[in-house]
Amino acid sequence: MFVNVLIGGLVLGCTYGMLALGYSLIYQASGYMNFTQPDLLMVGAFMGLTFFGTWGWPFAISLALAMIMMFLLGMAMERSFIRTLVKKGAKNIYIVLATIALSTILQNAAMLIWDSRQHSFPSIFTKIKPFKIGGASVRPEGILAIVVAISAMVLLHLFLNKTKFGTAMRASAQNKTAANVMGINVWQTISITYGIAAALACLGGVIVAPNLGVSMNLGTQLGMKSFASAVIGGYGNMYGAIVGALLIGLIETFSAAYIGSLYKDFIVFALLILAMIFKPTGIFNAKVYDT
Amino acid sequence: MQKKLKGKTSALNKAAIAVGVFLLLVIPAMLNFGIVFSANSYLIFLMCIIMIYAIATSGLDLLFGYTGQISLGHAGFYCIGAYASALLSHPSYGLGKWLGITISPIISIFLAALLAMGFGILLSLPATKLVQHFLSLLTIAFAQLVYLAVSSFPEVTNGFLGIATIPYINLFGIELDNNYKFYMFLLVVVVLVLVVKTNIVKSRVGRCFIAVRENQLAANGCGVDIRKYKITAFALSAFFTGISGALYAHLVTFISPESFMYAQSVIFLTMLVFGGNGNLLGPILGAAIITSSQEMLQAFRDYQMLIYGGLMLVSILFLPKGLYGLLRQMLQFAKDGREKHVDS
Amino acid sequence: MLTVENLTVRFGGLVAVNNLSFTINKGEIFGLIGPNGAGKTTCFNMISGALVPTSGKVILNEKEIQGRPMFQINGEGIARTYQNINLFKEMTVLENVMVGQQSHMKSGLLAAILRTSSQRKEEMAVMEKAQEIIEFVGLRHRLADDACNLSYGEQRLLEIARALASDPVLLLLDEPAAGMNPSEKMELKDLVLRIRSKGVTVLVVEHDMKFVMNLTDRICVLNYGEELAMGTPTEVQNNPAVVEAYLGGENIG
Repeated sequence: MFVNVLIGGLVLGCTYGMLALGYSLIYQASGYMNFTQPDLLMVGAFMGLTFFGTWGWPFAISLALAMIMMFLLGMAMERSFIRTLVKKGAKNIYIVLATIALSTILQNAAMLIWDSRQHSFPSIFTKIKPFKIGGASVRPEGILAIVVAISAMVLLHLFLNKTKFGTAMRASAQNKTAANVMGINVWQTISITYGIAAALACLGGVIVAPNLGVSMNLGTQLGMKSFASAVIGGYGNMYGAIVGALLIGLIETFSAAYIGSLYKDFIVFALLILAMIFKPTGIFNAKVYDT
Repeated sequence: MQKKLKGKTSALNKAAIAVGVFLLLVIPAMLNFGIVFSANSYLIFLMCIIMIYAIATSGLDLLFGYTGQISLGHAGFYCIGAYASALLSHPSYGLGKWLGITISPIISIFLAALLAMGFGILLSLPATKLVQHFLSLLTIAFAQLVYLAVSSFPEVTNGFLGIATIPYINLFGIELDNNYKFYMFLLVVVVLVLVVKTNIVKSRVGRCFIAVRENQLAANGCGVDIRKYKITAFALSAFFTGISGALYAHLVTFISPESFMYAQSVIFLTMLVFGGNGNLLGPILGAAIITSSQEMLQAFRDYQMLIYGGLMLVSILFLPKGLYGLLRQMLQFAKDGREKHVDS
Repeated sequence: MLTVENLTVRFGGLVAVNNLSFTINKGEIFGLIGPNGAGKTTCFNMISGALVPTSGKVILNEKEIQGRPMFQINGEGIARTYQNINLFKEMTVLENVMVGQQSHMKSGLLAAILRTSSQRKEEMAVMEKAQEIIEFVGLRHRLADDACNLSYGEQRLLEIARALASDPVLLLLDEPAAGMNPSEKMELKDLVLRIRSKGVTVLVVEHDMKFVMNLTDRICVLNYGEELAMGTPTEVQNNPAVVEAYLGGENIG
């Protein structure tokens, strides 16, 4: 039982982690909080469902195509809405509001394009049977979620800190003027960042779909807990996103198993609020205080 | 000493007020007494809902429009107001169930608002130390926690089944048991709320709110205790939104967690942004238009949230001062046009 | 009346201000100058409370004020203007100056809601005082205009008016002459002298040498976060170390 809960928690955690990485990425690379992430994940999942499930294309192609389309969508949103606002000198709060509005639009547009029902995502590994780890039965899709999440975390961290473009991204977020002076095309960098975050959300959605199914609310379901994960791990930190997510995943499954599934969400959010009150900088110490 | 613009529009203002009073008092009376349509109290009910939302949105306006703090969790205060008032006044739940006491709704509404305000203060104590984004996050988490609290503990709140037969407000012996009576009562409440809001906004407190919104650093340097005013704004806005939640409970006499989900917070914000923030009329306009469109677009129920999202986006991009700002601009053009005619 | 004692601030490995000490006397117009990056604004920020020093003290009339919140320091009697204009853009000139009086106002929230007679009296008094100050700086004709609609020079005057509103004993002016033409600078100099004649001590940070030399009683020259020279304008002008620090052919005054 314990192993079951443990594995379940880890898989769930990696699920949250994919989104949390996107949040932290956008924050590190643009300084804004983007409320559209969860809905981009949902749209990505639906796209994957259509390509892979409905039209029967190979999984790899479905995933790649979905990610490319989401990348373009992410860039388009930034270019048409966010950039307009920033150029107008709109206050930060209005930019956050714009992402909230976009989030609502995405959710409901998805509902109209697909529908509002819960769908199940077909198995990716039809030939592999579920593993047995310590007496618990784990689907290969679950292992995939863990592998992808951890790889993404490492790759993103390396990308942001060791590559030229990643550094350019961070520079653009911290000081646009200085970055510009250094020869970085700030606007393009930010656009691409949004694109990458969207593609990341899409990846998360498709990887998560076999475990959780696909529905209009997939994003909101995951969104808040992923936010919680990012905060607890230290907002803006790649490792923090995954560590925080794993923590939340484990807390959730253990609460459900040992206290009662009715209270699990309440416990998670109560802990989030306590964490935000007493240690808002999170595990990896993000900068959150208004001096 | 006031802006010259206000002097010029005072004649227009008076006319607008006169027309408004006529519409607000006479038409519902006619409806109620069957002069126009027979007992079409649905329109009156709608007006009541609009007024309740107007109060909630005005509360949010103090926090967002004047002090510049985003809250995505006002559904939480709305919910606390509704449930607290229900649990204090209902004979079969809460106080009634465990201690056999019920409190008269008029008082329970006030107490519920105080409770909401208390939570507002509690929430803002840590929240006001944090950078903008984290403040928004905290408010979301708060509202989510409130929602979970009322849905996860059915022994107290009856969970998703909700609480029904919430008692009517009893005002000096008169039971507000139909929409028309509630409407008249709400008119008074709304006027009171607007008067209080005006007094706050025109005073030093209001100036400090705006100073915090405009330039925190400079405000600090001028002697404004930033945190104190942010907390005050939170408390006030929680109070007003709590009142509106409680009023909602006693109007509709049935509440369940579904009305208090995240979407509700977004709707409040949409009303405020679309209607125009930082002024008296904007929140009311926003509440009126969004609520009536809810009704008119019944056939397009599916598109509802999509349209709201679109409205908010359009407002943010093109109408930063909302509908109110647009109307004022149009009035200004009309005035300038008339002046040109007079000159030439 | 204001003493800065061994003031030091470090940002990570960088020492921005190192062991700085000086005293400003009551009624003086004191200048703080130095090449770019010398630490003038940093020092300013530590006096006004925008920055907490790593070590050292700032003493105002025998009270230690370093590290205290800005709004409290304002209450103690220090007010400042900013290099980048930091006005409340959507408020009128009058309202901006009314906010400046915050530290001395007494009515609270309840009084505001109930519009008690003492609250109303206070509002009237605050409004009148604001009008006086606005007249004093010469912005009377712009009283009801929004701050964002003022010209650059007028905005700078408004900043000064707002700072004066808190009845400071020490006024900090951060590059007040930046972007002004010569005639505006003359008016500004005149204004500062009038402010001093009202009993306010003034600390000025400026790049315009001629302006500073003509206006101040004493000057402290900073370089690399340390004191390079201190004295009257004449003394400083003739100090060889100062001349060298301003190498690049800049004519000092």
